[in-house]
Amino acid sequence: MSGRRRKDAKTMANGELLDRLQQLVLKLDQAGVEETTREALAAGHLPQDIISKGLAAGMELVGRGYEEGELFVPELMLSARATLAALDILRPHLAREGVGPQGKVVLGTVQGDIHDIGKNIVGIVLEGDGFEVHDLGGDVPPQDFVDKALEIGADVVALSALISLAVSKMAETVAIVRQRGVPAKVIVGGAAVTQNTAESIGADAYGRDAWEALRRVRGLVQGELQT
Amino acid sequence: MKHDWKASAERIALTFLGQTPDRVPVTFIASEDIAARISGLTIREMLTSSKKLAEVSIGVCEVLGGDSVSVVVTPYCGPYEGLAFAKANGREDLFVWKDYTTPFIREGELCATEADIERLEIPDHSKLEPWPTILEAMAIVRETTGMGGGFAPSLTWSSIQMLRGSRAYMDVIENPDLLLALCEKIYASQCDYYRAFCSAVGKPAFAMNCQYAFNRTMLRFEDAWKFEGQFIHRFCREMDIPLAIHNCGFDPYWVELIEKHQSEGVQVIAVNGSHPLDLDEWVRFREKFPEIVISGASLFVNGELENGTPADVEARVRENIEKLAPYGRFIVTPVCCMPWRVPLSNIFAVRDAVERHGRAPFPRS
Repeated sequence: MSGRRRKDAKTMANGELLDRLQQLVLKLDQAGVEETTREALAAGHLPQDIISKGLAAGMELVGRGYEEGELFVPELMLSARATLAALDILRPHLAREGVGPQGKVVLGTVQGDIHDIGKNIVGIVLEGDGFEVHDLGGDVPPQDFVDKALEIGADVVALSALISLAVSKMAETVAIVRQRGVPAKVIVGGAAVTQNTAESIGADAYGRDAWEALRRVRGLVQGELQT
Repeated sequence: MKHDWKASAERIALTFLGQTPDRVPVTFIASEDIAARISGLTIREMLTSSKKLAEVSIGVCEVLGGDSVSVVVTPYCGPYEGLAFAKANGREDLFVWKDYTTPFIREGELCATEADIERLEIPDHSKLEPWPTILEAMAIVRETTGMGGGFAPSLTWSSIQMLRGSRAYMDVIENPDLLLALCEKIYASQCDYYRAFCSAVGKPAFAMNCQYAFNRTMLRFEDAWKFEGQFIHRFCREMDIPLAIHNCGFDPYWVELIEKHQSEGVQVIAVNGSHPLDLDEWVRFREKFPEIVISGASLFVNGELENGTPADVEARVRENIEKLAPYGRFIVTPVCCMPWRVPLSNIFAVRDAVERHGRAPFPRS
């Protein structure tokens, strides 16, 4: 077999590895995702390709299944957990190669609300896409968003609220982020929030679900006007 | 002028009976936020005595001007059940009090492990505060106004999530038996609450339960039934009471859920929700389930109430009345709890719009 043919065979095998990684994310197979991520690294794939063509692509398949009503929150959570485990494996390799994040995001559920599932999924989807995510958790006071955003030089502040009662605090948080001169864009989402709410409280963007949030955050970082 | 609770009670009763009241009833979900806003008291101040809690509750409901009255610290859907579990298990430190909004237990910490679930103690609602205060306040409210005959257990996904946190979603696939064991503990606790309620207030006319899991954005219908629906179903059968269902999610499985309960012997007497927002969907619901009271329909607190003007609110209420009141069994109710950001003028616009457009005979578009 010639060297050229051997290389073609190897490339095909490598492409198959990333395809397999997508499918393993979709099948919620965390052990398989971790093992295949290590295999892909050993096969010479760049960590950023493993993320974009394997993990993020797999999460997109999960997202599509969710949007089409075939998959539900448990599947989102398990696929997200598998992706996070793979990202842990890739992180040292990304650092060694000097690959920087697509942007920095401060994320949290606003004060008065503790629900964190939607927020967690958004965080993982963003992280899986190459964003550096600083998750402040639930019941986060407005000033904490300001402090963290200024500390890390955030590009985006992402606020979540599930219960209708928390929308007032979300509005207050947006106002305080503005008043304190945080240069980041603000995106809001969660079950209590609508596009109208986002506009009325002065947010830069609204994400109906994690995948829309990802598209909006990409747009915000690239300087696109959202609302 | 003092509120005429007798007239309100008649209005509600006629609506449930499928007869025509003098006007469409209007009700509000009076939670901690609106109570703090109107009374000026913190949540813990309201809970200092049953008399104070009852006075605040009646006073707040009178200001709102609705046809229902309830104790304003939400005993349903979790917070004080979280406190009861925390106290019964020596972890009161997990509970976070808020002055002017609903307090909560830190999610997922009380039942973080399998062993935590195994050794979880069931609270005694007749002894653990604030339950005795809440129960006595319920009794005072019922005695004073003649209203408040429903029982609202926390047989709901939010109780599961409160105790187990977001890992409960992963348990649905990875560890369903463990999750069911937790559901059984919550069920035992709610039976204890029911006994305490009957002792303090009397046997309820119906159970009002939050069916949060029954949303297409959350769980498969089968899983929602397995971990939430079957428990309130069993409860209604054992206690021999009908069911009213609250669901403030964005995409509820209304039809499937009602058909499941009814086909297995539990009568569903009312639904309370704001979605679907398309009123024509609610008209179709009405045609499919003519015997079930609709409390809510398309009046979402995070819609016109939060972002619109009193005129916008009036228009939306009028549209609801015109489309649904002629069929009967309809109550105007903004869903769900009203945040501070909803202007009082918009809340009052609901009541005023019902007075203006909801008098019998009901107009039809």
